[in-house]
Amino acid sequence: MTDADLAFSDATTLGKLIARGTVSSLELTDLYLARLDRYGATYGAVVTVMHERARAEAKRADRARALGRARGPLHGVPYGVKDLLAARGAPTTWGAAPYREQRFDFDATVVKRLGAAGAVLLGKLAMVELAGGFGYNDADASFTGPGRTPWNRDFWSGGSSSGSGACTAAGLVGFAIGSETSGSILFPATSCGVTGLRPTYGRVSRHGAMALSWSLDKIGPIARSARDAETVLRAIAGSDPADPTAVDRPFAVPRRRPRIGVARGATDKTMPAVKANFEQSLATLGEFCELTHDVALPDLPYGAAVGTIVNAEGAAAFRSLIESGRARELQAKDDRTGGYAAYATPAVDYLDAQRQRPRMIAALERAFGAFDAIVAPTLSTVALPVNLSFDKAYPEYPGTLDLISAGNVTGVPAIGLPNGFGENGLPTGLTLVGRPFAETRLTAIAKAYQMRTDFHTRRPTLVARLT
Amino acid sequence: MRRFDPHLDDAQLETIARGIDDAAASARALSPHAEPLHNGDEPVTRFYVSGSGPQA
Repeated sequence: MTDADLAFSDATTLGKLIARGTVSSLELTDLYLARLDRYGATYGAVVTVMHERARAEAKRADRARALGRARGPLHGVPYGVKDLLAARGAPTTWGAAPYREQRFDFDATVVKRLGAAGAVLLGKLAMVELAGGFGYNDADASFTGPGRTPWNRDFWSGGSSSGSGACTAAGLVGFAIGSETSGSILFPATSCGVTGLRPTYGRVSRHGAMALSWSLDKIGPIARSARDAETVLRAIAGSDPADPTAVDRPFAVPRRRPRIGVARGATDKTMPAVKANFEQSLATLGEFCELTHDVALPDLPYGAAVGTIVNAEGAAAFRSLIESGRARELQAKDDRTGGYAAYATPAVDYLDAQRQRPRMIAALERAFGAFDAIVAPTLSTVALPVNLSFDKAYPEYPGTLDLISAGNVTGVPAIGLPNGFGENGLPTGLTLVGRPFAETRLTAIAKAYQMRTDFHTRRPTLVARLT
Repeated sequence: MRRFDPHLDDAQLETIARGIDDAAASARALSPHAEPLHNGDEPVTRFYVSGSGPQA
């Protein structure tokens, strides 16, 4: 097995290799640390590589293994976290210049739980500044520079969990943790050709995470397989006295033959490759699922509600930054003014958005009927070019479905999977949206899909640090 | 907004004004003519997903 074979193995395989003694956690950690140093900056994917902490944790994991005290499938497996999660021993920058020197002397609950599962923290991964809350409109929206997809450096890795997507795709970590307020796990997972799992709101504690929108923020895994995503979710899920929104709920039992609704208009105004790959995906899903076509998503203002809530809650969360005038230090031109516009959100608009949410939840519940999941392409295009503002990139392919806003405003889970490639060698993806707390029904479908396809095992050709 | 950042130039202030207008236009969709919000439609004051809330 070559170093590249190891680096690109999924976390489940890595855990087994460590358990068998084929590789030690320290050897694997050193391999990933070297790859982060070599490739991380090339893809704008890394903020801080935590050499000392990672090697200390790996040594501890190896000692525990030798004493027969392995803690489960993630024992000894190295990972990275989006730089909005607090971790001792490194700054927590939130991707934004005004917070470059910020430090917390504690670990976020998710980091603690992964530590308790024996996983090894490699470092803090790049992200869009403030998780994109101030309305950025181009890829250069982080003090570490634009995130770039490992499939083609001229294109964006997606955001806001940019580094989590890119590092997972490039084999620089065993798996990664991202967060989603509205699209920030699914978008980079798609642009980087990896698997992203957005948990149900409340499934995972946000303690120690930067808040952008208290009523929308979720934390979840970005991984090289659906089975990894499920394993990581199980490790980080559960109630937490430090986050009153986090709850203990059982994981749903998957059905033998899942029922999937195909969203009406799923491929309207999408790129040809997105459409073709999605149709091929439906054929694959049809081998083991009951598919019902043309399922209508209730016509409600999901996007307007998400936008208004993020504006109001984000402006409150970053009120001190806005009022200090230091928004001018942000990287993206639009972020330097977006916070001020958000700050002026009328309270009545915010309340109206929150008044719509019970309607939206009820309407989506009705639309789900007996389905385990609703499926659609994750994005209407491949990754966006780094050198163009987003609104100018692919104006002819806007898509017509807003499943990302609908899923986030109602708090339901979703999994994004790679399903092929399109223009410029860039990946495309599909998303399965599920019922509340039914993530394992989604991962069961996703695992079966990945047993029949190999898109999640493909490797990009990497470019080393540019001088 | 210049009380927060005196360095904001006129073009930036115009961008901010446009941003406020765009957000207000978008927010009008929150109570659509076809299905307007009614007096009794209460806001979510602490969001939770079915099965995770205070009643569960």
